[in-house]
Amino acid sequence: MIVVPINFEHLLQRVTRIRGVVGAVVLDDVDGLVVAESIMDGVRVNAVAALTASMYGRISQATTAAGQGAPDFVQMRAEKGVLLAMRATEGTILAVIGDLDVNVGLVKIELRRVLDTQ
Amino acid sequence: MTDVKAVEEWAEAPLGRFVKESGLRLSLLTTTSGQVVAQYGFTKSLDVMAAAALGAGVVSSTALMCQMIGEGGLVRINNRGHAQGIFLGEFDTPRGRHVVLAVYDSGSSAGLVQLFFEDLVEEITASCPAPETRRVILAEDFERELNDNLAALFGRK
Repeated sequence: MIVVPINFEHLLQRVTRIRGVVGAVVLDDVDGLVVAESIMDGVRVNAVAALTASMYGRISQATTAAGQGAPDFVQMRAEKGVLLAMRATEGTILAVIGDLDVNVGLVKIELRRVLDTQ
Repeated sequence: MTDVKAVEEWAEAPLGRFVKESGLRLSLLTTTSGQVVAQYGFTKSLDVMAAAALGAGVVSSTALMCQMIGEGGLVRINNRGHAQGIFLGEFDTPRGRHVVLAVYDSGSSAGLVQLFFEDLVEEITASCPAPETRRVILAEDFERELNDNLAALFGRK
């Protein structure tokens, strides 16, 4: 359930402005459905949303089982780039697709800045 | 492969993949009139027939309501409960319009089910053969055919 009203379009604009970021999507963490997106053509945004929510849920189960609580940031490095997933608000996750050299720290800072100013 | 029971062989593998990839608890492929083509997870004939009839009815009535407000297209319905969700979707095949009912729990999500539903539609459209020429069903054959189909659906064949 989304409880924090937030301008997700603004968040996506700010995040996709970062060098190396090629797309971003805000998704519902339970349903895995797209809330807002800024993704380049040719990427199945609904697939990214559904699978990211599923993965985030599984990782959350693993970290909780390990006694570490829920994750707030997940980074996956793939052959051609990275997929980042982080808690945006309660009930939503921000997934960011980036090049291999994207500045991950900057993405996290930008997210925090946007959320703090809402 | 997932334990799907099918009256029509072409439906078995695609529905099996849909069940496995989406992590479904129950699934049903029917015609728009509620005739069961394939099923997964149902253990009683009464349950499967009731679910098929209700699913087809819900899709049909939703389609009519959509027409009333000037919205065409194929019906997709998702209901998320506390522990389980139900997805209903209709799609066209060479053998006419069909309905899929999918029941999922917290191991899956509406997004995953909708995602793999799109793949199911593609697979079924590709594997479904053209309709056979209609044959007359004789009263004396009806009960035997019904029993054969029920046996296929519950793996007693």
